[in-house]
Amino acid sequence: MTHRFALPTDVEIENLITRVFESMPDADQSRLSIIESHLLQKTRRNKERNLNKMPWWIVLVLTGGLVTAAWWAGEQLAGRQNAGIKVNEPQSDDKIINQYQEMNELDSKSRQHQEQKEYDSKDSPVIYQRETF
Amino acid sequence: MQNTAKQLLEHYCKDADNNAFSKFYRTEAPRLWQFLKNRGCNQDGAYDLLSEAFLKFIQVVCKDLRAPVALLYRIAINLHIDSYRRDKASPITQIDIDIEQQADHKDEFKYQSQQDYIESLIKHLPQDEQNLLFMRYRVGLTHKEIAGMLELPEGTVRRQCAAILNKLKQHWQEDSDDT
Repeated sequence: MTHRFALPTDVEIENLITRVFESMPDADQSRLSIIESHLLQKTRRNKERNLNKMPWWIVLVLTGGLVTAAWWAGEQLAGRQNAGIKVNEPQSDDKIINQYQEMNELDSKSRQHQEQKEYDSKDSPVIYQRETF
Repeated sequence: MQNTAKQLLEHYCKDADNNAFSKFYRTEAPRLWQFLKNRGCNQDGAYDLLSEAFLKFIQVVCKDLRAPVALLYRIAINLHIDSYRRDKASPITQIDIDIEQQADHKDEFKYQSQQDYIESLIKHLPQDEQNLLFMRYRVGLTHKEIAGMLELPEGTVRRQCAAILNKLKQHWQEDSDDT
């Protein structure tokens, strides 16, 4: 026998419980603010770390792409240099001989052609003449 | 209210909005401090645990935004249990608790209002039941959210809440002068 209060309903008892918890001593706002500022500093640091953090697969793809590009560029450069060397490359003896033969043939053909023209212009009565080699 | 907390934390996680986090903190921190104090922490201990709980909370909250407030309280409860285990060997803490309990018993016979009386009844409930009432009537969590936090079925939480209310009513009747 400690009180003389009437038995409350469920809703009343719930309201009483809420009021009991609400009437509990409050926290010191200044101390809560200090904790808040520490937390915000921490969240800013976390954000910066997240920005620096890239998914590993993006790094892998970028690195792979760069390596492939570098290899391809290297190949291209080496190909051009080889082509330049080929132009200045000393030719073999056979090729030189062939070139001279072709030049001689061309010369002899043009000489014959000129001689033919000379005979045609002279309109000589000589029907046959021994060729000189 | 829980939806507001959820929306604020969604802003914080998706848009890195620190103002949203501040709003959430200013709403939840005073209640969490009261909760920790109600669980038997001393004043400084409650601030330390609150700070630690929020630190852990910001590390994990963005991974699962379903019930952020329940998550915060679960972290705080776990930290309090750890700290209680650490301090268990300390005789000073034990004496403080004993003195507080003695003071509670002295207040038992001074009921100015229904609120005073129900407060004394709540103080004599087991810690788990006090936590449940705090979550339900102070923090405003739903039965489902409390169930998620305590890793219990929702029906069990519902039944426990009803049982605590019945227990309070039963004590009320037993202690009444009219009976």
